[in-house]
Amino acid sequence: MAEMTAGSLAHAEDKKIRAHNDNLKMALWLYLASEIVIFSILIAGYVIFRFNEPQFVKNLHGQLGIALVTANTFILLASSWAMVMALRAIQMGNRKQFLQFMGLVVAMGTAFMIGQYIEYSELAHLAVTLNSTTEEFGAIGMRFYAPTFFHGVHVFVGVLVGLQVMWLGYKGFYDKNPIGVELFGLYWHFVDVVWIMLFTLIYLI
Amino acid sequence: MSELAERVETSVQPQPHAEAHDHAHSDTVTLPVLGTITVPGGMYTVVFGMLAVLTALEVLIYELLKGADEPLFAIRSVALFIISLGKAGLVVWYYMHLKTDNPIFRIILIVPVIVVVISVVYLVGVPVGAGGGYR
Repeated sequence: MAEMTAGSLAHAEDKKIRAHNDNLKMALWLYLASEIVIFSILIAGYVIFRFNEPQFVKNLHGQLGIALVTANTFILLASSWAMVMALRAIQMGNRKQFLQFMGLVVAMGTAFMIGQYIEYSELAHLAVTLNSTTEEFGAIGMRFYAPTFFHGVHVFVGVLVGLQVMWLGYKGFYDKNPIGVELFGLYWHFVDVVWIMLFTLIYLI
Repeated sequence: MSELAERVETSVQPQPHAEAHDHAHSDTVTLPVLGTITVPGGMYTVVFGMLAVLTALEVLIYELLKGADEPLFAIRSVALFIISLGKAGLVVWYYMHLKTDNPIFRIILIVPVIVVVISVVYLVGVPVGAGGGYR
């Protein structure tokens, strides 16, 4: 009887933790929903420009090429895989593997930002700036930089939060309830999903 | 039934979250064409492989049909867009756990997407220069 009571209490506690986790996830999904609207507005600005001024976009694609951005895409996809593997590791109680995968996430996020910096430098040499209007590229600057830079800021924030998640994981904060890792994972995967759409809409179409 | 007995009975029911975790922690995956395979990371690694292949396919389509004129350009664009939606779907379904998580999260995701699609279709449909349409 005492065992049954202890078991049922543990179950009640487990149920409470799960409800708490679901509430946290719901809050994060609502935040991501608002992000969807913001990113969509920025992407729509580019897509409408793409419809109206196809030649300017064609010129930009011709100058930039897609080698660098394809490499960056693979890096971000791989970081998403590393993120979900980090979550899997902490859920299985393997803190060492969790730290290794989180280290990969942070490293690949940093590599992505370096790639984006190189690309922006190339664009600056082509005189594509925020407010520039050139004969070759028209007023593409703001349409291009707004969604890609806003995304880049999300990667930067993700790298910083990723470092914090690593530190907390190292301290054993997620040993009992790894919801913090799962929430960060949701954010990171969302950043990946946005890039998947940006890569196709801005660089390939 | 007493509250205690009810709690004990509930505790032996399989928990969907626990099942989802067990599934996610397994290295063995059953796939439609390949059958049962074992890879480190299980389904997560398989999804990453699919994402990599689809990205390579996108780049291939882009390179092969680079200078394409209409209607081939339109077909290429639609194909690339569908592939990107498929990739996004894979990440959301498997990595963000919408497949196994609370279904209300799917609604939270779908509603803004629908609102945005309708808004963009409207914006694109507004004639440029007629009444100050968006440009």
